[in-house]
Amino acid sequence: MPVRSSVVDNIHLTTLLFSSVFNIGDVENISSRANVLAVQHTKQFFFLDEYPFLSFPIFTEPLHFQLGEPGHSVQTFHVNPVIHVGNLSIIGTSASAVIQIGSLVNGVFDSRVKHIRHIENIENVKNMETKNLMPKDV
Amino acid sequence: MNLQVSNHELKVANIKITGVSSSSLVLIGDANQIQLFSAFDTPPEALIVGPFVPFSPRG
Repeated sequence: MPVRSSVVDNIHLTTLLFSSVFNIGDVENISSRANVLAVQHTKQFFFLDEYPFLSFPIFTEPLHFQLGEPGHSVQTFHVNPVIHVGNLSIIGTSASAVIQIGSLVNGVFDSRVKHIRHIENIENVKNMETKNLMPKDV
Repeated sequence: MNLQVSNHELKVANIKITGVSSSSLVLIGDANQIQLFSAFDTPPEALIVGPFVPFSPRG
């Protein structure tokens, strides 16, 4: 695969969080995965084995996409073999995100996020409703 | 299908991004194949009301 060169004059990155990657150079394969379970309780209590990932189907569900269909022929001619960017400014990256300057052959990115709000009694929910924090039909 | 692509000059002055989250990609370059998968579950569907944490939580 003939590729172009990438030229970036200035890069300004403020925060790279949770296994984010900033890469300069060509890459053959990227396989990025993020499993996030965000639990919020009304009261503070913690267990050692609280909420194992395996008990939620969202984390074990197979990927729904298919690999590229065969039978397509794509021919690319790089008349100008340079991609030029003046300024790249990114405030924050999180959870297995990738910033890549350079070419990529194959990338697979998989993200699963599960939020849980554990509310002690229904009055808390009603209070949230009056503050327009929740939809009315909860 | 036969597709022919000619890439001429590509020049960008400024890129300004606030946030790149959960397994996202910012790419300045060429790519052969990219696959992105994302699943997100958030309240109100994931709301638990009650004094106890269930032993086998819902998906």
